[in-house]
Amino acid sequence: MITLIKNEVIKLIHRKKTLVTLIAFIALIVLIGFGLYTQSKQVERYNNPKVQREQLQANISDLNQRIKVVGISDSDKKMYEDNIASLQVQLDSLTNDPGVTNSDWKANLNTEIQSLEQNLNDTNMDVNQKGQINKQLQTDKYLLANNIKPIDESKFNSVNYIKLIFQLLGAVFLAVGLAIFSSDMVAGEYTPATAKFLLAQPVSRAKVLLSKYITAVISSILLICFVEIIAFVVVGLLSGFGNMNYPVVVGERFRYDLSHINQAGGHDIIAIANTAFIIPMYKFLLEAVLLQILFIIACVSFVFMLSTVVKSSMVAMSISIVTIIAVSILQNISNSTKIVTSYFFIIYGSVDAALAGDYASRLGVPYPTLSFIIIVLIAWTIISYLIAHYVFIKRDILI
Amino acid sequence: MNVLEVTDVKKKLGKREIIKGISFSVKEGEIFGFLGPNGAGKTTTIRMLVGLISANEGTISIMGYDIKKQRELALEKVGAVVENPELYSYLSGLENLMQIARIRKVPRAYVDEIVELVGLKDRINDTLRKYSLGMKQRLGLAAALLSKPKLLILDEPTNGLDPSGILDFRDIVRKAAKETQTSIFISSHILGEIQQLCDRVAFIDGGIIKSIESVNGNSEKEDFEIVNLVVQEQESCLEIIKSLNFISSINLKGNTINFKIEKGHIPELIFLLVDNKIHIEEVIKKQLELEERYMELVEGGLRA
Repeated sequence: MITLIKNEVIKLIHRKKTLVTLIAFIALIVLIGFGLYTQSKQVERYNNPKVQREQLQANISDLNQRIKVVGISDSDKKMYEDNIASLQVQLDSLTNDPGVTNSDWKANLNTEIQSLEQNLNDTNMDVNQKGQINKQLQTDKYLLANNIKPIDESKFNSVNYIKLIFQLLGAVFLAVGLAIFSSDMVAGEYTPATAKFLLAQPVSRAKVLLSKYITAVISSILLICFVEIIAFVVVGLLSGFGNMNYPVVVGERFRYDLSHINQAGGHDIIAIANTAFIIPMYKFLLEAVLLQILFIIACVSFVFMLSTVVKSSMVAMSISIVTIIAVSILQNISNSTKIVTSYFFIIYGSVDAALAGDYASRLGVPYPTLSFIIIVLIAWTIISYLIAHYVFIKRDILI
Repeated sequence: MNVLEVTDVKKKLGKREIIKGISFSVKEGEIFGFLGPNGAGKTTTIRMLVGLISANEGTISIMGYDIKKQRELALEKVGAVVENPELYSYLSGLENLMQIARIRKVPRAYVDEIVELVGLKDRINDTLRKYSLGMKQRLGLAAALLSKPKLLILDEPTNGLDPSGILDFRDIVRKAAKETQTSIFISSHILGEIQQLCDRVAFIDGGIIKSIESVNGNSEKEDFEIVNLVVQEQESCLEIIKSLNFISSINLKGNTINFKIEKGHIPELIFLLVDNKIHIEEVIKKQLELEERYMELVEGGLRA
């Protein structure tokens, strides 16, 4: 068995496709890093008090110009004047205490907590909005209690970078990349027909298939995790790792809102109060990586199954990619198609959303919790492998 | 002991029955030919022998092991090249062999020995992409020989080999058969190949084995030979031949005189012709037996 795996690894390393996918993946990760870096620079620039002051002054002078226009209606004039007044207030606060956002973040947090609590008392607010506020409130209180300074999401550091990678990869890139990478694990033996040689050796077909599967799964996991870890460390060394104890809100649960009937005649889902909880960043990242590995395994298993059944790597790859696209379209069409896609593992690539519990609100059904997602991933893995195994064992090799 | 034993094997692909019940056996050290036209079921049979496809009915056993029930044991001592040897084009020739060597636990030194035997030593580190068809055939043969097989199965093995390659190939096969008592099962549609190599031959057509005959024994049974003769003085030559009682079935094809002659009388004929001042251009003893049998069994008779 070890021998077979060694053989498969040697074949994999020598295939051109392996190198191409690796380079493409690295390029993508670098591109995401560059995007985040550019964004963080922009935000930084915008947050600079000097720039903000200039912006406000420019707005005020623009409005002053408009008021002077002949024939302006009274109501418009009134509106412009109000705007100018509010902008002037902002400008004054900036001028009076420069750098307030930096020095006194605790006071700021306290103010924010107070205003959020006031908002919660507003009886007209709908449940979902309240859920959002509650999450923000939880985070703020956690920050205050643990003496952690709030960090902008767009700040360029390892933690934000890896979070963005999880988010973007999971949407479609990971699945497509794995489809390309593992589509010729089995099908590649049919053109040219090297399967004739391999399967005429005194080893059982089950072992041949299993060794191929293990090779595909392990190399995919290593490839992706390795590149991610390198990216994490490199950015960490260049611009800081970020706070590993920073709070992340996860595990929010939902239920059907039975008191209201929506336009489609069904029930919308609402967040269940106090189901979301906070975990520190390092735990979040660890769980995200584990979940991503599970997703990779499911993805590879599915593509591997196609590769075994259709005997052509091009066809296997095409079917995989078409499936990925079709599912992501179905996900946005109607309630019934959303329910269908909720059983399809491919949509659960965004591991950050899966941990947060966002898939429920995305799909409009309450059941895609973390444990549901894990079960779907494992079920697809097992079923895919069983199909591949059964087909491969019974097949007549006629090429 | 029979190295290979095939009993009442039938195989359907889709709705068509490709193999309609064949039985044969290959003895130890024997070179067994499998002769038939394209589409007769040769490759299908070979695929069943190496477990690539499974028979619907009947049994195949190699070294006494059933290919269905004891696949690994049965294939342990089998080396096979099925159709064109297609190996991993992105690996070197050596790595291709090592893939099999690792599975079969063949030491590296023996791999080098086999590489030397098939004459690929200089190019063994090139990727397979750069190999010619003939080189691929040699590599395929090397891969089949790696396991020190008791049964070597070769499917159209000289396809794509140049004449010297074919000669080399025959040497390798004969050497293997003699030295290691390897039985060889060789399929072909090239009559000369079978005739030169094989001890026995099975004629297959339409999924049925028409006959199994021994190649050399067959020609000994006959008491006459067929000769093609080209001379300058055709008419006087014909007169002489017609008067001889050990010659029969005289035919004239262009400038060639074709006839049957009793065994051992050819030198006598030549002396006689020379005495009569007839200038001989060509005397060819024709080995027509296999071709005749082939036409008889497969095509339903000799072609005009």
